[in-house]
Amino acid sequence: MKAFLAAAAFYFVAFGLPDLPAWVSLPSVVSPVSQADAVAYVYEKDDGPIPGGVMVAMARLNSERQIMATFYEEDAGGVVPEQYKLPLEAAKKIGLPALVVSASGVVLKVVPKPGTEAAVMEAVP
Amino acid sequence: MIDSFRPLPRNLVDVILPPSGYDDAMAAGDTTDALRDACGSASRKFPRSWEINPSEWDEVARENDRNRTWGINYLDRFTNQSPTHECTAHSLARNAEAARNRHRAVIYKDGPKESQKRYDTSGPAGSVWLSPLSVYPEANPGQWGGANVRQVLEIACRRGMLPDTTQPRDYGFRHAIHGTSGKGNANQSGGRWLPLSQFPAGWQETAKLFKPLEVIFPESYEEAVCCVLRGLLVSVGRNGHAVPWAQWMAGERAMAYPDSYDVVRYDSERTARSAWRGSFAIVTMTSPDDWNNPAS
Repeated sequence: MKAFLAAAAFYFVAFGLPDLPAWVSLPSVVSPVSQADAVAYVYEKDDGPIPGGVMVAMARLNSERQIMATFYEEDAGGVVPEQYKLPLEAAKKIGLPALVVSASGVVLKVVPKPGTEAAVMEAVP
Repeated sequence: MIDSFRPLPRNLVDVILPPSGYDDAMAAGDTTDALRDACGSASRKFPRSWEINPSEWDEVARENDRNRTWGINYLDRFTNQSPTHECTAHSLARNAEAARNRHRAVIYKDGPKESQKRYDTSGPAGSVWLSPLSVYPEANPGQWGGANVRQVLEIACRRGMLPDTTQPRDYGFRHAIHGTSGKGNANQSGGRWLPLSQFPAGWQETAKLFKPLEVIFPESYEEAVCCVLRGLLVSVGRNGHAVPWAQWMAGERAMAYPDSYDVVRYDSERTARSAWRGSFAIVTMTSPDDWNNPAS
């Protein structure tokens, strides 16, 4: 068995992998968890103010980790800015307030009702 | 500076200035209802969930001190209107800048920098310095004599404000004008009087990027204090001058405000209790599509 595996390994290294039939599909390669580059705290002001700890955490993400951490008020009116379209949609699905963590425009995580500095910091990979 | 329990210098409390643009007749016209009407669809009720029992005000003040989450912590500069009558427009612009920076989640730990200094973080954070002069000439084409709070607020809600030509970094704004026809400072450009007819062609395209979208009108002194405790600025007119309250000084029950003369001053509780009527607090400003590119 060892001799067979060694021969197979030598063959694949020397000549490459054989072509697979078209009906065989391999799972796509999944990249590791992406690094967050944006965090949006989506809220509705009538439901409550932004907690002080959340404000501190968001400011820390901006200053210490250079992550674009911002707030978006749900019924602000006007056109929803491009950067908040996906976070708003994601947040509404679980209810406000919610913290939406994204990377390159892809939502990584949605955290319902984070109320403290620690809750926000722990939510961001 | 942020310690809200510190004793206040007496020479900075209840200071009455020479006329700066807000006389008694103007004050009489600035009722809460008039302001609410002026803002139209941007008008919002004070959220009941923001109420704080007065017995808890000290505790919230301590938390704001510790976290640096007063309205004054969302301001990174002073303005200087001297000797013009632009006070209501300066108060409006400060209120708008703070609301914008608050949603950008950037804290300026010491509040506004002295007039010749700057925070290194203002530029990277996308802080935009707005021009009171982009509003005032429409409210008062005659230059001298001041403007109502409701006038400047209506103008800002309808068509927005222009950025100052002086900014913490070059954002590439297509339209900008100087910040004041008064003295200005290192962080606010001063220049000649500029009638609306001499604004740069197409200025409306840039002004619409800086509009108040949600404005609250406190209906009691307590609601005004709660707005300040929640990190908002509350713009008021009193004693012939308009200013934005930005911190509640728990030790003396006073209100601190960045005056449009390069200095923080204070209204005593007695003055504040007589001044909250006709006040406003901007909650939300237009957000950009990209905070790194506020000119887009």
